[in-house]
Amino acid sequence: MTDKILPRNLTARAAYAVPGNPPSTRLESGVGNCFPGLEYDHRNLDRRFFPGLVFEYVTLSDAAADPPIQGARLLAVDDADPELATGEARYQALAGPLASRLDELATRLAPGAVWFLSAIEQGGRKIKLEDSTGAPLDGPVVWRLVRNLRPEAVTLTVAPRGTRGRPVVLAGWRRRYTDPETGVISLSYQPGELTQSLCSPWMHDFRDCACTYWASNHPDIVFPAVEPGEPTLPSGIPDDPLLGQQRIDWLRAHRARALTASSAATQDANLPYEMSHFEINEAWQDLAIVLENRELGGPYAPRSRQVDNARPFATPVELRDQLLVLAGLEHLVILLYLYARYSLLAPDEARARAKKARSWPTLADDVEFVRYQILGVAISEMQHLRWVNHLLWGLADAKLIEGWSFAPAVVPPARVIPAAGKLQGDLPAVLRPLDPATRQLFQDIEEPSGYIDGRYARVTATLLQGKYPSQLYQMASNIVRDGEQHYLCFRDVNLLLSAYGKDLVYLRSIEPGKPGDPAVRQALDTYSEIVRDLVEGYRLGGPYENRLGLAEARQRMFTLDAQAEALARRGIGVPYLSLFAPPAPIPPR
Amino acid sequence: MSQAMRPLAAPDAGGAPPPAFHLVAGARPLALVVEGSRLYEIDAELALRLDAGEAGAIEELLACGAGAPGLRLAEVAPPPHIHALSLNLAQACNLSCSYCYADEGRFHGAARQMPEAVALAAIDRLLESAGGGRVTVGFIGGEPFLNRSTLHACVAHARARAARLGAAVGFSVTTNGTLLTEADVDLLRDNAFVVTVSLDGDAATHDRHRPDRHGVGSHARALAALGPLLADPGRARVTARATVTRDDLRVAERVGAMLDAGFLEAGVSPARTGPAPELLLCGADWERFLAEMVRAADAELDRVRRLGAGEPLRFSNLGIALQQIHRGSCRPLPCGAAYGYASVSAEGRYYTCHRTLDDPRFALGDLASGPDLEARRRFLAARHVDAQEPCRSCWARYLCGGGCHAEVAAAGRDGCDYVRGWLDHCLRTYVEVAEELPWLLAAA
Repeated sequence: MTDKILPRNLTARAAYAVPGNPPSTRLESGVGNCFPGLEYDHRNLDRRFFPGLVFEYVTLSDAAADPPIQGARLLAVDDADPELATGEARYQALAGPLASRLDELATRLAPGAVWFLSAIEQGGRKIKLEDSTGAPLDGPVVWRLVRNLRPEAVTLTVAPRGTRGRPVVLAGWRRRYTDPETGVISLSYQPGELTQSLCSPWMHDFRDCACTYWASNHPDIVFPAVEPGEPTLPSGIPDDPLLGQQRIDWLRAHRARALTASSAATQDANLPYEMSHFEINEAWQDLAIVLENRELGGPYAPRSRQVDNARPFATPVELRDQLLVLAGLEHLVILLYLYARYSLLAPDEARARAKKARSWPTLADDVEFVRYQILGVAISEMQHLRWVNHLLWGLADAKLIEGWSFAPAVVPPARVIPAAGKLQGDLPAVLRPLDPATRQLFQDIEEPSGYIDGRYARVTATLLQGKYPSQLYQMASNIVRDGEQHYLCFRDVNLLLSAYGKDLVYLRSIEPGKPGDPAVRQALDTYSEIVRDLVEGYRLGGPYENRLGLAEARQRMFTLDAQAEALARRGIGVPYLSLFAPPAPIPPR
Repeated sequence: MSQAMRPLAAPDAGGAPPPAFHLVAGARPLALVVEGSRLYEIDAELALRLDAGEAGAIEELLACGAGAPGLRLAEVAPPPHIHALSLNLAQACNLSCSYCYADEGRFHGAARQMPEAVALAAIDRLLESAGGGRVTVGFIGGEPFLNRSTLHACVAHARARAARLGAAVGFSVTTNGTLLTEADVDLLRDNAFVVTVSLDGDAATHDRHRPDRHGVGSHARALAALGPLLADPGRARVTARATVTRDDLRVAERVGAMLDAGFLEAGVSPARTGPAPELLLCGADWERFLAEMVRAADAELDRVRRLGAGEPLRFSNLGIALQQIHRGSCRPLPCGAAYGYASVSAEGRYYTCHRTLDDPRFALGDLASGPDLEARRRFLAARHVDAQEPCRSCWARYLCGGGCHAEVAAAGRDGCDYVRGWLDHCLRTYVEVAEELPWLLAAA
């Protein structure tokens, strides 16, 4: 191996692969992240922003340090800086005096002396690097100021801290970091200097990545592994709701599963409960593999779900007819859930009631949670209504049914909740407050073996067939996936409110409103307008949806929310179903 | 024009692979890696091992940069729109230079001038197809100032047109200088012309081969007419270029005389083609010419050293070579002919450059249809240095580019040893200049 292969011209220098540096240190292969960076930390360029000087940007970690340690600390004078000899022609006049000043400064940088950048001046503007109380600016702040310098003449002041001494003023310039023609990095940077502050190897960064790049690549909060033999739902979730809903920190230090995660407000506050630096590096194999949000305790066995076993519909016509039925059901459940939601106390009402009774200290939080959850499910169903319309439009667009063209399927809502799963018989749909029976009903409607889930499973199985446009399958799968979340949500709600036992302290006393009542009329009108807007919005179907129309519908939903809430506070529920013809009586079984 | 390195699609048709590097022997041994024109200073030990062809040594050298040996430059990319055009305003001349390749400007046809309409149309086409950005309009001949009115009209028209299109236009002219009027000088100053004056050296040298129609040497007349421009160039950039004939291969003296005459920059070009074979360099002349060039280069550097920091280089051949080495210029063609540059004859026909006018082998089309893209591509593919013999196996090919198309077509490649010798010298010189006289290489 020879010592001497020295690149001399620009292309040689640009191509020079520093022995030992991997290809990823070369800018053309870099990702160019700098927090601090995966291949190259460009903040290291600013350590030498001024020819002849090397700074370090120090950040405050101990407010009580005396002398203060934050700011841009002058580490060294580099009189071998090539920029001093061969800088741009326009700085030639400055170079000589600068070199002398640097020599003088070097002699004053005695060991133990602590010098900092105290002022920067460019273009007639001078900034003293201290805040209004006279405290020095923090390192990152100074760095940002340095970053704002133009590659032109700059005058600096550096001053000692903690000891007496005259500041030194240096007239120079902001270095051009790369050659303007070739892009070669200035030769003042020593090998290794640009990469000295890189991100640690990936295991460590799982824990400490401050820009959360790595955090976004690993699971955060997960469900614990299912014990072998533990009874599970078809989707693999443990049947026991407590176990099924438990959430744990994937990076938890204690590897047992029986610990619910909590989340403090800062990364630092969570850290004590997570694996430490060296634990991550040493024992990374102990971290669990996570699939479908759940840690795997053993080999993964794909679960059989309704979707896998569902029987496809025989013809496109049958599919369409089922979708029309599902549209009606989606609309119905929206109304059921909304009506029930407004039957819950608002948090302020709950607080007042609890205070008066000197009981149920968590009532306000609980109702807030349940109201939020149920509204979330209702909104999700609204999205399903839209997607069902998309599916219908997709069917029509594929011209699979002769003589049929798409028309929006928004009204009427279904009037019967079909039997399936735990529901033994068809039920007439009735808007009811969220009492225990209703809560159970909601759970049964959404459960994996329920009607809705089963129907969508068959829809999905049908759409897998080749003759249907492929994107329709995706849409249907999304609906199925959502359905499981709704079930879990209602199960959570059920669990929570069951704690209150037979006392319906969380409910308002609600009666269905009379259409003759002007306030009720007003709410019903808003609802009608929303429906009309949706029909208009969906009319052209698919990508031709009238976005403006839908936006207007959404606006009206805010209005309806206010109206329904106001009515509910007075004990009145909005009788949405009164707008539609009464259902045919259900034949006895 | 940047090129990507990649292997040829088909294996090299027979023969050894081209050299991957070139050793420059000397007190400070250098190695030029052909790929990327990367220059390295190496120690004596490595130089010996490389010289012996030791595989390990070669690997060490090539490992200093990305890539593997044996690569060739890719084919020339589809050429962009022509952005530089020279107009042969006058295929006629007031002088009778003995070596003139243009047959006293006539290019072997009848003397004629370019009609103004043709010139303006060519300029319009240039500006429109360049689509904004920067274009250059050059005026050549013969002697372009024989068609003075058209020249002035072209400048005004080009500026107005460019302003309307939001484009920028630069101008250049190659002239013998003898006919310049005050108005011409003002035009050159005000429009930042790049002016190349054909001058051969001092009066005696110049007058030997550059007489007027009456046999009277033109040196005095040229300098008289050029005086005001040399005294105050304004925004113009004025260089002198001498043609070196085999009867007087001295370079330093010519350059010195031109600089003394007031030119800020001067260069030389060896005569290779023309009507008088006794004047053209060939065979053993090249070795002597190389020695003369080296002498001139060394003299120029001594002058710069003497005058100290900031003193520019005024021998343009050396300056251009040093800049090319500094940047690692690495290209498969010697110039922009047919790529970004073309020339228009008095009749309004396009040719690959100002030296191939009226030669059907280099025709590119006419004003009606514009420079033909297919013809340009064929030309560029055929002229790619890796398709040329003996270029394809020469270490210097990506610095040289294969030599002037017109000269090679007329006279073959006779002076390759000179080119390599000159490059060797410039490579050595470069390393010293980079250390001692770095301002010569600073970005302009």
